[in-house]
Amino acid sequence: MADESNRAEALPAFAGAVAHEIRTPLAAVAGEVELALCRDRTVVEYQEALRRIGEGIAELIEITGDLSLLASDIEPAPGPAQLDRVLARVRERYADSGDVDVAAEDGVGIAIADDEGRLYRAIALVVEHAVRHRRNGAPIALRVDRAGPRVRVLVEAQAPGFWPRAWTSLASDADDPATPLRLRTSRRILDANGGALRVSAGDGRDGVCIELPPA
Amino acid sequence: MRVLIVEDEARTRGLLERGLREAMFHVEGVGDATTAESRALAGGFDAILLDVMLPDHDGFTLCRRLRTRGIDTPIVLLTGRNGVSDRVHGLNAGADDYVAKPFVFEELVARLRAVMRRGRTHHLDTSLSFGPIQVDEQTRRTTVDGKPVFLSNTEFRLLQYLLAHAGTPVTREELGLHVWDGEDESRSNVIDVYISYLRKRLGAAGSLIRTVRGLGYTIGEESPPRG
Repeated sequence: MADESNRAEALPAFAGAVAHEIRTPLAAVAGEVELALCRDRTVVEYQEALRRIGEGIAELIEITGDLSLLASDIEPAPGPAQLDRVLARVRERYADSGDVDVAAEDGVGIAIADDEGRLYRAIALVVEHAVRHRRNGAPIALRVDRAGPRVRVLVEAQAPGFWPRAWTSLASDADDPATPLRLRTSRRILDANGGALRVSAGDGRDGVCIELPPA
Repeated sequence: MRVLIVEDEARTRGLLERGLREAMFHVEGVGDATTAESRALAGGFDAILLDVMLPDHDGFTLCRRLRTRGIDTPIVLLTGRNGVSDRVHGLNAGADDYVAKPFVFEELVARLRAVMRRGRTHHLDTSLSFGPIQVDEQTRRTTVDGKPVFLSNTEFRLLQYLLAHAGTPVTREELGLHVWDGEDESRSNVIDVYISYLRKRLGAAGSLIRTVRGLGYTIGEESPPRG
């Protein structure tokens, strides 16, 4: 009964957070359409507008995928996933912007106990949160580190680092409605296979650590 | 007119910058509250378009801080949070208006223009005018005694700024900042050349644009002779 009551109380906050997450890319798509049609454009301008609209729709599709994941009990997926291939997808996602540095050799030969698509999404969501919460466009770097039996992917920002409240929600429970949707989804995926998402504090670095179970 | 856009989401910020430029605003985009505060304190903006969810502080806090520090630039909050309590919170924090995402661009532009108009003491209707000169900011139509006058973009912005401050001398630095987007035009003769073009385009009404020696220009009636 108590669990049910807690869930009912958390629902409005969660629904509000989701509405906000959806509204931002939706506003961008609607705005692009309106702007494209408000006067005659060249073919190149229409192509650019369509490309941007496509990006916005792709983001909305990703968000609905994340919501589907959150709505279900995520089953463990033993994989294995090849970490270098997952990181290559992250590198490719940010290739145009140059915002994220992922060393080409990172993750080679490391197999992770997870589904490759799901693992990519878990890492990409953390990286996206990092990009949005860095100070003054600080470059983001990913590096792979082995710590005992676990593999860690460290997501760090160079100076001036992240805004102080970038990762504070990680101190709370994964289901806390105040946790941003991206981090919440990433945590749920990682938790399902025995991984974890933690603030990498105390070692002089500014960032987070994605802990992954080796296959 | 210069607008400071404060939006952390790069795609939305890019869209706002392009859309407002097409609507003839000069824009500067920043992605966090800390940078926005220092830019707003430096001055030179006619309005601030402020997203509520920012990575360092929320927009409500920034809005309140700016008002506390004496910044009276009109602020329009832009947000995905559209509850009544959010709107009330925003307006109580010192915002002049509130636009929810997803927004209609045309409406956003109209609201920006409206808050800028409210910030002026001389003009309460939807257009700017002085004597026979009238400018519709939305349609960009300029008339003198009801007859249309065709102006270039720079001439239009120059006339728009002078009309917005009708009766008050505006400095060359102000014109450089607001009409030429901060390019250092104040010491060149570009401003004088455009004033000259504008006077010609306005015909007899062009004499209403007066040179204020050592300072800049104003649009207004000649002071009556003393004695």
